[in-house]
Amino acid sequence: MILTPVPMARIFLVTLAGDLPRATEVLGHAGIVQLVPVADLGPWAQSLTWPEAEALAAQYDSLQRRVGAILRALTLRSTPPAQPVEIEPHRAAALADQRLAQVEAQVREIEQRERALDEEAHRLAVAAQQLQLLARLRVNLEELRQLEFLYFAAALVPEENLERLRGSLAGLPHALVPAARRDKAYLVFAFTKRELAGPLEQALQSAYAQHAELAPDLSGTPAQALRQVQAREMALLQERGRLEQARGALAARWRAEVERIAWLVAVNGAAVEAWRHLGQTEHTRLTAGWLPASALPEVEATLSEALAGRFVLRVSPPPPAAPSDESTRLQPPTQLRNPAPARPFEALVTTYGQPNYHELDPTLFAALLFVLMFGIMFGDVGQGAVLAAAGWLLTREVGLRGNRTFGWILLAAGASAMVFGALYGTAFLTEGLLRALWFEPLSNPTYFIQVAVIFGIAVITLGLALNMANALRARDRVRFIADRRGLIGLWFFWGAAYAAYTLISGRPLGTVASLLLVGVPVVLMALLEPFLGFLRGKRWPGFLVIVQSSVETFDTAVRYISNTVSFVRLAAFAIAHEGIGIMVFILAGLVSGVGGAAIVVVGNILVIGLEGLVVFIQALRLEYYEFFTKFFRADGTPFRPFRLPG
Amino acid sequence: MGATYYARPHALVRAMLGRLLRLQEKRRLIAAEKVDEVLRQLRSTPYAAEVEEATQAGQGPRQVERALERNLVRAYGRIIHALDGPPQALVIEMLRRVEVDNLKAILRGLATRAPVEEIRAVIVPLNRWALVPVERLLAVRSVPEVVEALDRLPYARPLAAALERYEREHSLFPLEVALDLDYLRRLWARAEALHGADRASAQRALGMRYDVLNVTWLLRYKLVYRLSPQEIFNYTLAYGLRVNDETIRRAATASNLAALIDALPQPYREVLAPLQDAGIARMEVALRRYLSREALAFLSGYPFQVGVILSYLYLKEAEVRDLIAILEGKSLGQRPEEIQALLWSEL
Repeated sequence: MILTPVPMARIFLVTLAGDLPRATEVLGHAGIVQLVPVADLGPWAQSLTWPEAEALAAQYDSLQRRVGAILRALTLRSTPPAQPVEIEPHRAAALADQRLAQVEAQVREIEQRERALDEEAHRLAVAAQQLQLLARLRVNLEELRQLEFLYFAAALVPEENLERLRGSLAGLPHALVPAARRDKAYLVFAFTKRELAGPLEQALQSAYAQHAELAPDLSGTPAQALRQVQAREMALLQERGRLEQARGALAARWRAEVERIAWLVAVNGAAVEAWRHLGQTEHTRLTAGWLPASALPEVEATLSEALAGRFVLRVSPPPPAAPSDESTRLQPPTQLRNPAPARPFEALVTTYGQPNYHELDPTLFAALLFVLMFGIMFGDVGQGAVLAAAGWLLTREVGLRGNRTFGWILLAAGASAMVFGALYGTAFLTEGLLRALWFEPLSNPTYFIQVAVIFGIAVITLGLALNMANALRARDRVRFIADRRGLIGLWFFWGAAYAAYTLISGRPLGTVASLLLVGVPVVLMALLEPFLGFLRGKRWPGFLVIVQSSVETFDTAVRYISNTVSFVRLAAFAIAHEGIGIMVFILAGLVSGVGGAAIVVVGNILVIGLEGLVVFIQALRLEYYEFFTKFFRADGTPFRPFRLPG
Repeated sequence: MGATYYARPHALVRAMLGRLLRLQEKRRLIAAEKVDEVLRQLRSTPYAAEVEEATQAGQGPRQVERALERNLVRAYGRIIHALDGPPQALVIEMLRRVEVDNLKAILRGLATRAPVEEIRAVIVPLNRWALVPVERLLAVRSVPEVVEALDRLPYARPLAAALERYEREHSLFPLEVALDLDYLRRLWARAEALHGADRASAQRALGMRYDVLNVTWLLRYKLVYRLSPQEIFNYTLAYGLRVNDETIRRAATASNLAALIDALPQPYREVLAPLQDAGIARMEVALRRYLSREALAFLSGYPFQVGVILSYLYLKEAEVRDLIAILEGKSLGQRPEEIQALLWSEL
């Protein structure tokens, strides 16, 4: 049944300590079990936690950082080996530690040479920046170093300290000129009177500024010194080339070994990360988790084969739904199962929240409603076709990669806009090109608003129906009947809608009918839930509870009305779309020839971009606030099975 | 982040608050005759596991103190597990204060040429949240090598910037100040990365702590180290709740302690004014007690905000710090009233 998530089973797997690596391989390669930390299972499991696994995980964190540093330094990648890696965390960690230490020693040498080159390059760059600023002076650098009345300092100030340095100099006569920014530091020139050199130096020093005085090994005029710097930079470039050759040779020498170790660490690290969730006794290990019930026989068979039957597998069904005020930590994760066309719309649902295991998955309804509402608000054959084409290109990853899901949603929304465009007779903001198959929005706005409100009533009713269906699935009769979004809520909602209809049509209901349709369900909403709660074992509802319930009922009643009125926006946006079209064509009519055509084209582009975005958001808003709030708890967790790399 | 997000962490924090020591328990610890009696009493508190572990291994009061800090790390861990997203990143960053202290301990050990085992004994493991490769650092022989070994970690940059001064002055002061300022800057950035009411709540909770740090540093820099106004300004924080740049500037240029206190905003002026003759240590304690009172007040406010979590963590930190002070006081043979005067919580 596509409206419910994949049925899950809870497993408790007990293996011998020695068999754990093999069991981990089986589960990790199957990739279908989501592990549950034993500490979450309840007080009985607290004594089973496995501190050694925590320590191992910390060790692997450190190894992974070291491997990452070497891979980066040698520009290598972690690639899976031909033979699968065995899980032996202790041995693998010792081996990795030893081998990495060997590589690190050599990598460090390369890095030290690189750092020395960087420092020299940095020194030369700073000198070049200083000299460029002084280039027009025709004095020798030696003279600049010996000013008589002014105190001058050039320094590199860490960028995060520059503002603080400025603040510290307030009240001291000075000039602070940031000349250039380099490697997260500013080269600044600071001047003050010679007798105030002390405080200026204290300020620079406490801002962790590093002096960058004109390099003492440079001489002559700034222009001559600049040429000296450029010559040295050339020499540095050649040295860098030699360093890269050395790096390449080192990478070639160690590639196979480093990649093997990287993979060993990745696989064993993932296994150890999984072990953090397990429980232990002296000789056994306990794995708890969730897996799709249909995968159970296969997992059991694979474990039997791999462990020669030395394991105990206990399977239990998921616990019943937790009341909304209870923790959902022990509830099963949710794996959605929708038909392929609806799958991209799962993103719209999970952006709001993950359905919990016991509630209906609203993806299918969300997809249909979103597409429908977008089309109603953005009905235009031409512009819809543009959106659909853009969506199709995104699904083919033309131009932009990684937006396929959005592409499918855009394609469906565009197609819906085309359908409604045909119904309204609108193409590229133009009326009259096509004959309206239904009606032109601007010609009969009142009718359109009525249609929108009726549509809203239908959507809200669907939301209430889904809430009641969820209550029935949870065998929660109280929620089915007494919830403000249950049967009584539906009674009130339809009653109020009918009362409003009779009032607008000039045939208002009599007192008895009004009381029966609106008054009675309001009173029941206020009183029934607290009293039925009492029957379910909660405390006797005191006066304050009744007052609180009454206020909430008032709030609910107002919300029903405002939620319904909210759907008027469906008509409003469709009418606005036509209005904008008329405006564009009036403007185009004022300009003759190509100018007019350009206004029509630009107008269409703007409408597709801006109005398209606004309508997208409005359709989403109607789903989230008017529809989902009626039934969707969205407090589930997605199914994330444990998988070993490769 | 609203009630739904904070429901679980809040329930956890409430439960953990209930496990903080009661005033009577602290009074009994202070009144204990000797260290052994303190340890015996601690065995019937939530610190039992750590104390038991340390004493069974035959370790002395110093190691018990580290064990208490491990309990603090564990408390952080439980809260971190209950969070995700930016609030989790903020709490992890807060925990890294322990790592900053570890780094300082390693630097001090190297500077004083202490044996590796002695340094290792004062390190508090951060487990999964550690960034620093402690064992690698313990294997190096000089402060510059530490900076090199921290390559690519956030601590490397401030230390590298301060290294030149360390080598020139042969003092750890510039290194330690650089580490502190950088860490607190990053922590503030984490608070700024939160959204809406959460950000305001975190900035309020942290802002008070930053105020107290700034005031404490002002007192020390001015009265103990006698630094110039420029240095004081650069060695303090640009963030806080009530203490701003102008306050710091006025206090840094004050001619004496009374003028310094006068330059501070309320409530710090009110807290410190009666203690002018009591010494800096007493003033620091008074400021910390003020923070404890504010943290308690925070806990009685709107529950679903990150500030509640930060306040609990402050109280927990203060408790661990107080227990360490009690243990040290007992080891030094201090009288109960002397110990009590040093505690961050009011009894």
